[in-house]
Amino acid sequence: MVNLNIKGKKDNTYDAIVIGSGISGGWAAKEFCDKGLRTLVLERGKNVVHVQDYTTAMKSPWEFPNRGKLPLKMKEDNPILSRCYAYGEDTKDLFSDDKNHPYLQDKPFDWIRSYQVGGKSLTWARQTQRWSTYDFEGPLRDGYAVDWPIRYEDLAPWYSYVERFAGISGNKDGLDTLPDGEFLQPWEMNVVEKSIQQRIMSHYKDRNVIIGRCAHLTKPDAIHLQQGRSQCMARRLCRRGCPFGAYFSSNASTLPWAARTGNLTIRPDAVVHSIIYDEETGRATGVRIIDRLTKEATEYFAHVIFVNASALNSNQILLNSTSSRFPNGLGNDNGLLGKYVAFHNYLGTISAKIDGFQDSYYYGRRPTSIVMPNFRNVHKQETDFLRGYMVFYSATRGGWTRTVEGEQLGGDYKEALSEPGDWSVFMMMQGETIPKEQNKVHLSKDQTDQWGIPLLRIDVDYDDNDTKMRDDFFSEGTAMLEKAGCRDIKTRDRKQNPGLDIHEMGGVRMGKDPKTSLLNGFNQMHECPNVFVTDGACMTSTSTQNPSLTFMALTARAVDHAVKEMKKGNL
Amino acid sequence: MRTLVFFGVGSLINPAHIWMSCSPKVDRDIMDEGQIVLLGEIAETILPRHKGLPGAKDARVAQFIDQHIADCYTRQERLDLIQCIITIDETAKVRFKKSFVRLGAKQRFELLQAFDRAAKANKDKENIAYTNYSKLRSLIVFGFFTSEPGMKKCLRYAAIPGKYSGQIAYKKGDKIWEFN
Repeated sequence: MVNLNIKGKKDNTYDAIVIGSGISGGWAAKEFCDKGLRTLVLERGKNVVHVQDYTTAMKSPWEFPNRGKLPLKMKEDNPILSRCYAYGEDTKDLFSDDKNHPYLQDKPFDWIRSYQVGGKSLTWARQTQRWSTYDFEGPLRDGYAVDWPIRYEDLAPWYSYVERFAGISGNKDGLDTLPDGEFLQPWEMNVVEKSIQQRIMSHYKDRNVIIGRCAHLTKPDAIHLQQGRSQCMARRLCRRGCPFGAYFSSNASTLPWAARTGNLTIRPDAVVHSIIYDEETGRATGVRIIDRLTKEATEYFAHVIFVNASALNSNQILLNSTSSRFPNGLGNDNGLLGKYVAFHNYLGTISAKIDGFQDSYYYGRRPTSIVMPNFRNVHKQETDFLRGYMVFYSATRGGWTRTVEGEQLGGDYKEALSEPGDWSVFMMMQGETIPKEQNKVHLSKDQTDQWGIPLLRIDVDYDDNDTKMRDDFFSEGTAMLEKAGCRDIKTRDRKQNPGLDIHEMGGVRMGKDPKTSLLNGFNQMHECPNVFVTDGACMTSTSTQNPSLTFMALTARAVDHAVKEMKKGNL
Repeated sequence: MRTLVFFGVGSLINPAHIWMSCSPKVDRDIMDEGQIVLLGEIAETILPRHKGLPGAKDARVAQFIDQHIADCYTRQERLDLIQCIITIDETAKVRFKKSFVRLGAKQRFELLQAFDRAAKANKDKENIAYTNYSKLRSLIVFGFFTSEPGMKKCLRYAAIPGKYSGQIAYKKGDKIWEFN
């Protein structure tokens, strides 16, 4: 029997509740607080105080007992998490361990979690590209998923709105496949990256090569200084938390901003059990949480609820929010809740060597790479697979892990290793995957976690489209690197499980029709209009962009809509 | 059986052969004091103090490896590593009738050169000389270039670069950044 601790409904009532404090939850909190609503943010993880709790941020490599390598015990305890590139001795406190956070894999799926105030906004890769017209039109044109209820024009002003505040560096490239935004100064390409850019673009008239756009303050504006953030120092130790607040995170940006309004309450250690639905009013009235440490249940109430728990967690919460009206999960009349989950195809990588450029080097660590916006099936279907992929590449000079000419010992060897080697290129794909009904999440019928919440079962896999796309990347990437003058070009399949891309999306998709979607064009549940879902769960399709910027824009737009509706008395 | 290995003046040492013939069985998976000293001298031979810059001993590479393998290696990987350094020592005893730590710099170099060549010539995952010696060398290189003296003195270390420039002039002899 759960021990309910209702201190009195009044004490626990707010204007708005936001579930989750990551990228989209932080934005929801900021927007509500700015608009004068008393807002409660429920975060299932521990509190993380900006700067103060970035305990490893200023450490030198030799200060870590294993200089960044994972101890065997950490690997054994975290077989899934230890496959994540960002998880290490220096970042272990910003990820959630496997042992205490079980889930069930109907098919292999690496679910990477960062349960804490700030969520994955502390550990994300910070690449931020807008979607284009073609991306929103994709499902309708190619006949998969459902039509997006919005188009680029609906989101464009909101992209601008969040970009100005978050601080996005980039170059105005004028491309319709990757629209320009409100950019701070772009990062530079190095000499080899430029050479490859020129050779690819002169050979392929329909392909573009640009510098990546990322959420780093290359040259802060007044709005960023007001947030207490400062210029990026090019350390690229971002995932430890940035003491300069130079990349966008909830902790550096939206949450402290929201707190300054006086309208924000953050409740860490609040594992959301479910959303409470009132049959009489046909509205959600609040959220039931279980304290992470004491396991005590508490209920909080609000007029409007934003679900921003991260894609699969948001699915889990809604599936577990059952009532006699919604026996299969909140708003789930059509049975599609948890279905049409998709992700990004990261299977293909290519490495190559390139001769020359010995008189050139670079200074500092750049937090982005070179980007090729999708060039496949942009205007019409051209290949034997649906949709396309974005290409990333970067060029570096060989480091001290390489083999040098001659013998690998002695003073000359040591000296050779302390000088840069030849240039090499690394290229990778980020492909769209097609949302399908059979790629889904659902709840375990007989197993619960330590908070009494049914375990999430994940049933997601690759298909033929993904392998055809990988092969196309292999042949096109190889051809482009050949044209760029590279040699020793080697393709490699990472063979990684879905999920390790950490771009899982869908399950609570947006759409025009309540029969085939869960959310409307403002991320509002068709069947429970005071509940909004604006994290990755809402995504109808995945396109090829890193998704977080789109979550931010959708969230700001949805809050604007919710508050307008509240003022009209509709919510 | 050491007697299976013969050395003449100037003859090549074949560590793979030695490995098969005289390598002792190891069942203790932590290094003793003597083995740490031995590893320190092996590491110094691979990455010596050179042109006034620190070497592996200055960077306490052996002490780092001792702790690091306890944290990060499986028991079998630790046994392989210890067996590798013991085999180097056994080879020294066969070749020069002295343990490795009592050899002069030239002899140490000659001995490890033979291991290096065998490793290079046998890029075969089944070949223990290649896999174990190459692994040992990589670990020594890692331990050295991630140490404070290794990074600060032998590489260019910038804790806070402050900016990024895509193109700076490079001339032979300029050091590498501490990252790739």
